[in-house]
Amino acid sequence: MQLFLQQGANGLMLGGMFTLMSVGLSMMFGTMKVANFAYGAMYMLGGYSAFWASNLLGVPHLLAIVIAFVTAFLLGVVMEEFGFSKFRGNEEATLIFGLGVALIARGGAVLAWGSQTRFMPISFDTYRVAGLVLPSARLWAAVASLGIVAVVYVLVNKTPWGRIIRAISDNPERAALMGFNTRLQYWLTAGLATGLAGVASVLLIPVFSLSPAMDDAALYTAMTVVILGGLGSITGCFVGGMLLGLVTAFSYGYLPSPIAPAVPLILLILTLAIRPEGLFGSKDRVV
Amino acid sequence: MTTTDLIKTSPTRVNLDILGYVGLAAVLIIAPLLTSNAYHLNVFVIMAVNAILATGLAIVVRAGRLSLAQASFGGVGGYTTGILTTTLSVPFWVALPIGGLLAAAIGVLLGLTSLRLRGFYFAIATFTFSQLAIVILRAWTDVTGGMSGMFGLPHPTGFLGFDFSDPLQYYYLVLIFLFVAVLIYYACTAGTSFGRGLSVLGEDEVLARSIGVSATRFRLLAFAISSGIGGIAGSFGAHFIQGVSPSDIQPIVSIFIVVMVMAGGAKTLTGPIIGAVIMTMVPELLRASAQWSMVFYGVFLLLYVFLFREGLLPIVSKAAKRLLARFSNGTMSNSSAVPVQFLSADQCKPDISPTPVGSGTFMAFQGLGCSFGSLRVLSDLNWGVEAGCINGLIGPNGAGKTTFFNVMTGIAPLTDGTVRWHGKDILPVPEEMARRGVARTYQHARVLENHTVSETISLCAELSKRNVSDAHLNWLISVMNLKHLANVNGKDLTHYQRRLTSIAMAMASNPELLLLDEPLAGLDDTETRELSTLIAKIQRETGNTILLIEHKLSEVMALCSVLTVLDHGQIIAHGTPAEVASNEDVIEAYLGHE
Amino acid sequence: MNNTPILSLENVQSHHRGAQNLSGISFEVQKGELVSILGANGAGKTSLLGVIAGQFRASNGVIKLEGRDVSGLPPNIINKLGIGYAPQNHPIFDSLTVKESLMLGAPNQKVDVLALFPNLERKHNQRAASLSGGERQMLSMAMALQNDPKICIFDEPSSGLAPIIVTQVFDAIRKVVEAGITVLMVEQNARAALKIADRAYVMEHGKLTLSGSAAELANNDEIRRAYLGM
Repeated sequence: MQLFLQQGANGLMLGGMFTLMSVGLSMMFGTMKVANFAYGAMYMLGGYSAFWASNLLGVPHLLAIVIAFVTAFLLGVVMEEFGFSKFRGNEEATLIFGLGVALIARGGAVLAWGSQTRFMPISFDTYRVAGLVLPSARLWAAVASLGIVAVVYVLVNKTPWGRIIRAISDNPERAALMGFNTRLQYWLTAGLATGLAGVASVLLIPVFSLSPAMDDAALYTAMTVVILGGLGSITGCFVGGMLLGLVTAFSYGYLPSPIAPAVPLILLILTLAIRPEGLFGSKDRVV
Repeated sequence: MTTTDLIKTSPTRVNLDILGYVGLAAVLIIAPLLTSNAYHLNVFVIMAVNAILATGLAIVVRAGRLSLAQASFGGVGGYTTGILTTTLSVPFWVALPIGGLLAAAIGVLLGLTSLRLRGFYFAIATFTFSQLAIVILRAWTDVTGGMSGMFGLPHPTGFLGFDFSDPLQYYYLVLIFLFVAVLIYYACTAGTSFGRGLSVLGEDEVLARSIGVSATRFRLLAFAISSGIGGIAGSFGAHFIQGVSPSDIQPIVSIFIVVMVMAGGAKTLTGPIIGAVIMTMVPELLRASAQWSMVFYGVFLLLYVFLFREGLLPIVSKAAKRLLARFSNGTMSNSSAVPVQFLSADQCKPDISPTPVGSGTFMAFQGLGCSFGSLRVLSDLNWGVEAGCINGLIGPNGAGKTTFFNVMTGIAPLTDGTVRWHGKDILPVPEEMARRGVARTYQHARVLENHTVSETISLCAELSKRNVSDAHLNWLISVMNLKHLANVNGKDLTHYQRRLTSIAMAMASNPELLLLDEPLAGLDDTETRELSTLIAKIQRETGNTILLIEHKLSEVMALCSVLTVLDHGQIIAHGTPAEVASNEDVIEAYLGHE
Repeated sequence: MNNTPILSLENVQSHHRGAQNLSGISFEVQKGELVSILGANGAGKTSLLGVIAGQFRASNGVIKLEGRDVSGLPPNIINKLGIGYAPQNHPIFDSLTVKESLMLGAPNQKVDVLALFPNLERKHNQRAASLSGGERQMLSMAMALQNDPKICIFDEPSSGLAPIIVTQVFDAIRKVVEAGITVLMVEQNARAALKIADRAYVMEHGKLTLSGSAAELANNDEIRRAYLGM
C-alpha cells in the first residue's frame, strides 16, 4: 500500500513536471499550428543559458530563470521569423525545418560544451509527509507547472490577446484585414511558447540535470503529453501530463526496469491508433 | 486522315534519363576499384546499404507519408538473420528472406495502427514504434544480447567461388540488391498501375479514393514492401560489420535515412541513391566526427527545406534538360504517367453509359440519415435518382446537400437507413463506389497539381478499373475544350479550367452516375452558360445520369428534368422544376419572394 | 461642404506573375454612396480590391483615403485608417464564437450588426465553424463593419448563397448605406447589385470600361446584353 501511495505521489509530481515541460509545445501546436521538432533543442539551450549565467556570472537562481526565458524567447522569435513563417501550412517543411535545427543545436552543443551532464549548485530538501518521500525540487516544479498552465489557459481563452492570437491562428489574412499586426503576434506567441520551455528546463535541472542529449527526452515527453491530451488544448496538456506521469511512475514502480519504458510507449501507440485526437483535441486536426 | 497531336516523349529526354542511369551505375561499379584501402571499401559497403534503406523509404514517402522508423526495420532484419544464423545455425541465404518477411509483416502492423494518421501524427507513430523496438530488443536479453547486442555474425555464405569476407565482393553483392530495390521502387511509382495509384494517393488522398484507389490496401502494401526492403538492407549491414545492437536503430539513424531521401529527392528513381552517397561520403571525406556529421545533416535539411525542395537531383537534371532543350523542340513532361494518345476527330466518341433511360431508380435511399456525434445533418431521406437525366438537388446553405454526396460516396457515415444500388443494399466505400460507376466533383475543384491534364484524365480512367476506351477519353477532352490544355500541369490552370478538368476527370471512368457539387460556383455569366451547355451535352451524348447541386436557379431550371429540395437535412419538395418553383415551402425556405 | 471623396484611385496598375492585371484604374467613391463594380471572372475585380486593402502592391498609381495617400501600406494599417474589407468566400475565424469574433474590434457606432443580422444574435455563443454558408457571409460582413470604417468593401457577397439569403444580404447592405457608411461592392449578380447601387462601373481585362448611375446601366439594352448577361 505504501508503495502504491508513494508511486502515486511520484506520479503526480512527475505529471506536474511533464506538464511543465509540455506547455510551450502545446501553445505552439494550438495557437500556431506548428509541429516544432526543435522544441527539445530550445528547451536544452534555455537550460544551458541559465547554467552558464549562473556558472560564469554567478547570477542568482531567480535571475537565471529569467535569462533562460529571455534566451528561449529570442530563439523562438528567430525560428518563427526565419523558419516557421515561411512554411506556414506546409506540415512536411515545418517538420523538416525543426529537425534540421534540432540536429544542428544538438551537434553544436556537444561540440561547444561537451557531452557531460551538468548540475546547478542549488540545494533542495526532501519533505517527508505521512511516510511519503517528497523531494522539494519535484514538488516545487509540479506547483510551478500548475501555476503556469493556469496562467496560459486564462491568457489564451479569456483575454482579448488570446482572442487575437486564436483568430490569427485560424486565418491570418483576415486577421490582418481587421487591423492586427500578424507578424508581431506570431513573434510574441512563438517567443512565449519557447520561453516557457526555457523556464521549464531551468526549473527541472535539479531533477533531470542538463546535457545536450536531453533535447530528445524533452521533445518526446512533450509530444507524448500533447498527443495524449489533445493538440491545441491547454487543459489537455495538463491532464495528459498527469496521466503520463502516473503511468510512468506506476510502471517503474511495479514492473522490472527493462520493461517499464515500454508502457508509456504502448499508451501512446494505442492513443494514436484508437483516438489520435487525444482526450481534449478535435478530430479535424488529425484525419 | 491525319493524326492530330500525338504526345510522345521527346527522344532527348529519354536519352538524358538513360545517360543518367548508366552514368550512375558506372560510377557505383568503378569507384571502389580505384582504391585498395580496406577502410574506404567499408565505407562503400555502408553507403550501398544506406542506399537500399533510402530507396525503400522513398516508396513510403511517395505514398504521402514520412516514416521515422526505417532504421528499425533494418534492425528487425539484422537481428532476425543474426539470431537465425548464430543461435539456430540457419544458413544466411535462408535467413535473409525470413528477415525480410518479418520486417514486412511488422511494417504492415505499423501500417495498420497508423492507417488514419497523416503528416506529423504518422511521423510520431513511427518514432514511437522505433523507440518501442529498442526497448524490446534491450529487454529481451537472452535472445538479442540486450544492450550490447549480438556479435560474431557470419558473413553470407559464399557461392560459385565468391567469397563475401572480401569487402569488395560484398560491395558488389549489395549493389545487386540495390539494383533490385530500384526496380521494385520503379514498380511502386510509375511502372505499374499500383505504382501510379500510389503516387496519386500520395498527392491527394481524397481524390485518389474517389477515383477508385483503395487507400488502405495500397498503403499497407507500400509499407510492407518498404520495410521488407529495409529488413534486407539491415541484414546486409549487420552481417558485414558482423554485429548488431540497439544503437544501430536509434531514431537518429532513421532520421539520417530521411535526410538521404530528402537530399536526393523522392521524385526520381535514383534520388535516394544520390542522397545516400552524399550523406555517407561527405562526412567521411571531411573526416567528420559524429557531432560534426550531425551538424552537417542538420544543415543539409535546412538547405533542402529552404532551397531545393525536390532534392538535388531534379535541380541538376532540370538544368541539364533545359540546356538540351535548346537543341531540340521536344515536349518536356515531368511525369512518367502515360498520357492520352490523341486520335483523329472521327475516332472520338463517348462510351455509352450502361444505365438506359427509364430504368427507374437505380440508386435509391430509404430512411437515410447521417449524424456526426449528436449533430444530425440528414434525416429520413426517402428518394431515388431518376436514371438517364439530370436530377437537381437544391436547398439553402447548410441543408446537407454536400453531406448527402459524401454519404453516397462513403466519405460521411451512413448512420441510419439504407442505400440501394441496382436493387442491392450496399454500404458506400469511396473506392468501391468509384468502381461501381459513381463519380463526383467537389465544391473546390480538385485536380492533380503536378500532372498534366491529359495524364490526369488517363489516370482517372485507369485507376477506376472500368473499361474505358481511348475514343471515350478523346471525345471527353475535346468536348470539354481541354485539348489546348492537354500538356498543362494542374497547378497552372485557371479556376474555370480547373472546373472543366475536374468534371472531365470524373467522366473519365465513364460513370453511370455523375455527382456535380456546385460546378457553376464562382463562374461569370459567359462561363456559366458555357459549362451549363456542356453538362447538358455530356448527359445527352452518353446517356448517363447526373445529380447536380447548384444555386444558380436559371441554369438549374433549364438543365434538370427533376428537382429535389433539401432543407435542414430533410426533403421538403420533389418534382418537376415548375412544380418545385411554385411550392410554398420552397419559396419560404429557399427562393424568397421576388 | 467637404467634397473630398472617401476613396479615390488614380491610374492604379498592378502586375501578377509578370502579366499586368490592372491597367490605369481611376475612379472615386463619395461619402455615403453605394458603388458597385461589375464584370466577368478574370476581369481583375478581386485584384483591385486586394490592392485597395493593402494585400497586393500596386506597381503604379495612387490610392487615397479621404485625401490621404495609402498606397503600399500593409493591410492592418489600412484597416486602422478606415477601410473595412469582407473578402470573397466569407473567410472567418472557425474556432472563435460569433460573440468573440465580434469582440475583436470595436463595435460599429452607426449600425447595430446584431440587429442587422438577427441570425447572428441567435447563434451568438456558437462557434463560427458551425454556421451555415449564409450565416458565415453575414458574420464576415459584420466583422468588416467593426472599428467604424470610413468605407466598407464587400467582395461578391452573394456568391454561393441561396436566393433567399441573397435577398437578406442585399437588404442588409442597403441598410448599412442608409446608416451613413460608404460601401464599395464587387458583384457578379449584376441584376441584384444594380437594384441597390447608386453608381456602378464595369470592369473588363483590368480596365474600367463603363460607368454610370445604376439606373442608366440597368436600362441600357445593349449594355445589359453584352456586359451584364441580362
